[in-house]
Amino acid sequence: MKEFGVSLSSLSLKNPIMVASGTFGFGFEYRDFYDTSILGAIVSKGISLNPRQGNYGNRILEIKGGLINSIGLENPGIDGFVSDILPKIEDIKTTYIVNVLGSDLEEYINVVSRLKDIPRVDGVEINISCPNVKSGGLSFGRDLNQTRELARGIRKIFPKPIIFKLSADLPYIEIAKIMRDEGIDAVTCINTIQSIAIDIDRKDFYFKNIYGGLSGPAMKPVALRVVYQVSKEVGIPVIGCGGIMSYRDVIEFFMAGATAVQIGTANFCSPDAAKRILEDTIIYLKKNKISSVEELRL
Amino acid sequence: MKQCNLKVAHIRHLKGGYVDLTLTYDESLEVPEPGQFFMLKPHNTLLARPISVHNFFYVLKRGYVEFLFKVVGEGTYELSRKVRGDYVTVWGPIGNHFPVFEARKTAILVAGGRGIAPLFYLATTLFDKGYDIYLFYGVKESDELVHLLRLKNLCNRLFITTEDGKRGKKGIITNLFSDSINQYFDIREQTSLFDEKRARLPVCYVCGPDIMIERVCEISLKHDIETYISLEARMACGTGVCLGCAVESRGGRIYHICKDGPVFNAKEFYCL
Repeated sequence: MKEFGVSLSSLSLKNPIMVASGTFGFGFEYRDFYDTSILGAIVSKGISLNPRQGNYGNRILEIKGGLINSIGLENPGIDGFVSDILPKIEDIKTTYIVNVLGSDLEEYINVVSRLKDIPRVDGVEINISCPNVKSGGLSFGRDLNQTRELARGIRKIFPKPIIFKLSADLPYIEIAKIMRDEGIDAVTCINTIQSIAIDIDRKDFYFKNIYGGLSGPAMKPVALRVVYQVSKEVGIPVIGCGGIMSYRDVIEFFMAGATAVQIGTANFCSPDAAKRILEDTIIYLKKNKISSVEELRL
Repeated sequence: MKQCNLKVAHIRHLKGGYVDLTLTYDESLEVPEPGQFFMLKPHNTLLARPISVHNFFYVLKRGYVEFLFKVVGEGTYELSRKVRGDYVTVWGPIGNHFPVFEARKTAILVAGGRGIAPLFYLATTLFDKGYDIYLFYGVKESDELVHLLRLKNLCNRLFITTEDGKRGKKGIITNLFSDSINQYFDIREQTSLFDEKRARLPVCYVCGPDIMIERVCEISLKHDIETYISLEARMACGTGVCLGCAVESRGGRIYHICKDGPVFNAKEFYCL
């Protein structure tokens, strides 16, 4: 599958099919189902400086065509990642990207600086949809100056590929321009969409925190819009993500302007989803004699 | 854990909206233990449904896995429409299992509603090990009682409550459990008699609605009976990655039902 390798600035992938943060654990969990080394890249569960226990109460709700989650960024923290997770992923033979969370600039910088000397970590993906403590809990990406400072700060200390994960709830075009100008390698479009679910029987919000993140097929048209606009207007490599369930969805994202894609919720629907989608995509590309996904762009 | 398409060998529609779905097992899957579950994927829903193993058996060297579930929504409805010869995508077996102690010989099982599903498989396993089994089985409406003949066969005594009062004792199972426990097991006496031989004490296994589990554990733990509970939660993946099936323990620790459970020592969640 080498012939379908893609490059996103300094990030080279053996194929354009990645798995999205939060839907694939740390990569070793799905080894029972298939050899996860066949994937273009694995993006880990988001890592913060200290362990986070996540939210209490309901965390998951299936809706028509989608899934709303309010997990609360549960993760073992950077120390837990280094001591417990790293030994388990040494033998995964594909690009390994660590998703990074933070509640302020220092936290992001601290986590990234710990990751930069780990050979197994091939790159980072920065989640800027986390609530920013210093801006009263609003998404980090709401503050464009801080976002620029963050991109610049991370670029300065991290020599490997850097991806920023954008949200349709944020001013994504402006943010993508900042990323391009600050030398960030690529942007992932998009993170889950902020949502609300209501339980009329309990007469309350379904989630304790009121809000959850929508993923799955229901969000695909929104993701396609963001991928299209960012790739057309900004000129930074785009990783498409949002509701991909089959190779046909992958091709749609390529047509909208993505260079690579991430499979997310589909991994929950069927543990072998990413493998199946990868195989079907390669068949499609071969059958249609497409040597580079850029040829598909509309 | 593996993913497989299993063929429907048999499907029965029982009273009370219950469905008994038997699938031909695949040899590549591990043999399930009582308490473990599978994810069963309906075609019309995004996510699979976690359903505990109700029974596992061999006929002419071929393995069969049986699931008992109640139709409660779109996913279980779609699964209930399967016919013999259809395929169901499953992955599992998932999670830990009920501990079965070789040295003990008495088990108290407490089932509420569809909580009977994993306890039935446990009962068959305990029966094979020569246990005396006392089953407390409560439902809302008498129509919901399932597999009574099979259960009678396995258990030394079967205590039944229905809220409509048409079968067994009218009321809720926790009350009957509470009333019966001293009478039939003479726990206090046993505790003092066999203090050094705690292995002789019965083990209690509970599955049902949260409120029932809580009440049963209060009673069993008060009598110093080792108690194991099987919990459920909504989950997306069943593989330990979505982190959706979190429950909070007594100490405020978060457990994930698919990885750390579904079976827990009751002391993790309840105290005297």
